[in-house]
Amino acid sequence: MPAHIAEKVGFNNGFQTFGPAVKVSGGPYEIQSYTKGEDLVEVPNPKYWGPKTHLSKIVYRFILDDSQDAPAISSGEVDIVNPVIPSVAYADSIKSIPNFAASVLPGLEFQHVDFNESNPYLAKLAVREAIALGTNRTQMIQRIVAPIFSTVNPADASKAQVLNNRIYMPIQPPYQNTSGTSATFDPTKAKQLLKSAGMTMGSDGYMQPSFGPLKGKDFSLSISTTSGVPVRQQIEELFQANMKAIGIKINIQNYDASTLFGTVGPKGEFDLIEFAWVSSPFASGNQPIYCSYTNTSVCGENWDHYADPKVDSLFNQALSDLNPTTDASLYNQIDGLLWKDMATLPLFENPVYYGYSTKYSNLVPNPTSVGIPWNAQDWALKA
Amino acid sequence: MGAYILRRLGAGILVMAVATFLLYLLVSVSGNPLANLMANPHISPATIRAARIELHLNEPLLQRYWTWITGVVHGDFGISTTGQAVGPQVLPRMWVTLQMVLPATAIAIVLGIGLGVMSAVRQYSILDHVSTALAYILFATPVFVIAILLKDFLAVKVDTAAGHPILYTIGQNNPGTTGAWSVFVDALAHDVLPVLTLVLITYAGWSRYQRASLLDVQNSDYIRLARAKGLSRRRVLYVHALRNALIPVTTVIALDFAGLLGGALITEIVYGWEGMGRFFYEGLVGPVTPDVNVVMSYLVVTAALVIAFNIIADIAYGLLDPRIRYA
Amino acid sequence: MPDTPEIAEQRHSSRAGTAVPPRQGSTANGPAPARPGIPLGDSQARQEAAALAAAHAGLSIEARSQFQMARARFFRHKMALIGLGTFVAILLFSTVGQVFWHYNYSQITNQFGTGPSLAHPFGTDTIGHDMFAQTMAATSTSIQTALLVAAISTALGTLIGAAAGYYGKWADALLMRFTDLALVVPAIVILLVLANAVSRSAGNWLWIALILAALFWTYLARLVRGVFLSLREREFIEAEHAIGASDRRIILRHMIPNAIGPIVVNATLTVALAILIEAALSFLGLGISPPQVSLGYLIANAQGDATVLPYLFYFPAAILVAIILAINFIGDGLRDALDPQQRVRA
Repeated sequence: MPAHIAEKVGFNNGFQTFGPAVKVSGGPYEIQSYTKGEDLVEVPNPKYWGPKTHLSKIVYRFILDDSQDAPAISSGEVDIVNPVIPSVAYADSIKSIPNFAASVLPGLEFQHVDFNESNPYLAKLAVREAIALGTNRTQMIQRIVAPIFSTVNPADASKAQVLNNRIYMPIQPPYQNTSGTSATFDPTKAKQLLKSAGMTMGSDGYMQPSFGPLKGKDFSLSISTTSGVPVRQQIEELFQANMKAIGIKINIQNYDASTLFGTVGPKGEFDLIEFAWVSSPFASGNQPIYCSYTNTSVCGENWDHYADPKVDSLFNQALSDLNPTTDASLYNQIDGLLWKDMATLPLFENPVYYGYSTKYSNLVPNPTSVGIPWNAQDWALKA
Repeated sequence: MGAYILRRLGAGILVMAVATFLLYLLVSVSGNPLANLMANPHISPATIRAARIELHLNEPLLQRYWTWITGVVHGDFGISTTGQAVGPQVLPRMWVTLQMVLPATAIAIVLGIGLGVMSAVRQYSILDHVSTALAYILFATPVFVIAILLKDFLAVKVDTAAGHPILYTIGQNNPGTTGAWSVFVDALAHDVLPVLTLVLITYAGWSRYQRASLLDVQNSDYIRLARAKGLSRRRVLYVHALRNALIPVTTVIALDFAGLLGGALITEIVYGWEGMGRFFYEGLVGPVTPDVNVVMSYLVVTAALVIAFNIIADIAYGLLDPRIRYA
Repeated sequence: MPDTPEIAEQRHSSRAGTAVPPRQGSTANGPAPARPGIPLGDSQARQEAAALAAAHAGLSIEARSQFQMARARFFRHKMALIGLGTFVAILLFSTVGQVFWHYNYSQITNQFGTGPSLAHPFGTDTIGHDMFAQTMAATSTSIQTALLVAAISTALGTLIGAAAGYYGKWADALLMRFTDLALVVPAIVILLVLANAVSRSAGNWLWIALILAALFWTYLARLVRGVFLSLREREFIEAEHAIGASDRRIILRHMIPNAIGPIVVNATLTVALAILIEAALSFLGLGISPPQVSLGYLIANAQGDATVLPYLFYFPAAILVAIILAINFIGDGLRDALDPQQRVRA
């Protein structure tokens, strides 16, 4: 941080809020004003060394509720939108707006379901496998993701695919489908697996375990995710229907984000939990999630009571391996093991959705964390 | 009169103290602001401890409340969980909220009383029936439904026909506008829909009450006597009846003001205004919850507004009703 | 004559986000302060005279109880009857309808994102729920929540208000200050804080109902207190004291029956208010949480769809407005029926 400014505003606290004193920019635009959590205004930087920008002002607005976007676009107040998790309804509402285009790109974020293996039923591999086989991930894609792609181009619907690797995303070269047969939708086989785990089908359509705390009662599990996110709610509801078909009763029990990620998750107060991980080019970041939970110093993000020494040793190998090719194959082996152990169930990638006005040129969506403003200096109003 | 106001203020402050205490307790126990930090394994325990101290979470609840209330009395609203001081944010946000609330209150009062009087004077006419029906329907519609309908059917249609935004649906202004006139016009364009929404949910009740009150007065003996004495209908109405009929409505409006602020909260959220209401909502529900100091700042400001407004209404009441003399 | 501030407090705005207690004088007629019914003693002489006159003419007069007279007045109120009919129809639709309809509200069907059709009269949502089933479930949840709120807040409010109004002094002062707390901050704000504190994992209808009731009882308590304060000074109460009747007898047998009018009307309007406020809470994400559905939740979820999949928005919104209108009309009819001293339509 620039020393001459730090002197004036104080090094510790001076940079916590934006103000005229901390206005510094080395790029084509500089920040004119910023209201935390509300809006940010950029204007051209007069001291920029490069070519002059075409726009006199860019305003970033933080809109709380995605459903407010469509009327704002129709009325001309907003020119570019980028929802965090687009829903089908959202994409539909934007589709019909004239002079407005949309682009949907595969991203690096993916939804998944975790199994808490401290639950006596989920501790059994057969039960976890049954749940995986009973989940109709294609149906989820078809109803939650594919229609978003279709709003741009009906032919694009096929771009929405199930995710079969936890460490690499389909757009990354090392991606491989490491799932084998563990994840093909097969409710009949799922029921058989449940029976082999010691359950019998009850008269009400739900399985009844012959052991454990639910002995003689309906086999039920709870699933939790962040409340107030429609897409996650939809995933849970489809999942619930899938599980009902194989005889498992699912209770939906959601929490707000800070409770879910602050207490419920880390303390393992869940049976099934659904949320998203963000992948990165650096696969080593996955270690804290999947290495043995007993190793509390390293594996802090393993909330599932999962442990597999083979996975641990492979991670250690991969971390010290600097060769990208052998590295990738090690990680894929890890993922293959994760499938065999059915540690977690990846569902699908979150699509990255950008809507932008066709009145401007050079708007090029970018699914990485930089986002669409990556080439803001080239944006211009079409003549 | 002065002593009466002081007494009311005193009572109001007492009520505020108790209310803030109860709400402080409720908000503080509803979550852990450190949860996000704790969930991230890359953050060291030392950082979490430092954050805990900075947010005073290591102190017992009562002590935290005491720190907060003594701070407020000095004008210091504390620090939000993001590290920013809450106090300096309150005034600008208050100004934004008032940009919606003040015009809406004024318009709703004029519209409510005006329509109420007209309906009473022309009882059972078309005007009366139409405004009755409208009032009933507006009572029965949630405020966010009205906002959505206004956005989709008024704003979008007008703006698409015009080709550029006239009625805005997001925010209270276009940030970065310069020039006093431009800023004013810009603010006005952003004001229309939210103020309209607030007015629609507020005026109907007042107009019904005013109508009923005026009808009641018109049927009373002293009005009949005035007419019998030969005074014109107009004179009787405006000089004698109306003044008395305004009295109950004044109380209604005063007591409704808190409700209007509640409606303003929802309206702010629906239209994306950066006012106190949204400040409160984000502090309560937002990414890092609960942000006690932010939530409490909203409560203090709102309660103060309601108490102030009620005192003003009482004074108006005293002016209107000659039988009331404040000892 | 204009009302005093105390009694003028008793009115409502049955819309989301308002702090005002349920309204009394909301129709064509004058403001209805909480005056009790005419004590029976006054009309005794009149009844005797009428009976004599009728006997003369060869007719007989059947005495009608207060309840029968109220009922007759209610049935004369056209809008109230329409309201009652509508409400009953919607109630049947949401309860009995669910039993006979072949889809369940949480069921995922083969169609998704489709509009109204024979198979799905209200269409399907984007993941395949049958909206007809969901709307029925949502309506019944909203209604049952509101009914519970009205029941609890009425019972609690009547009890506490009666005690305050009857015993007066410090009990009264305590109640007034306590309810002041409820009035100084917008209702929606208190409710949001409460709903948040109760933890959003417990967003089922019972908790929401309890939270709403915890706020609404204050309005009814003030109302009942006002009635009791004015009743307390009446001669017939003094007479009861003179003959040594116990407090309980006086309250239960004399004062509450005379206050029943405003209490019933208020309770009815509380139902409407509760539905609206629950809708507001759902809109803000703190109401009844999925997988349960309420009308507020359906409408809030569908707001983005209002232009694309309008049926998702308009069906639940229309039903919500219809219920509230119906309840308001019923409340008006009840007020006309139970408060005989309020002015006749001039």
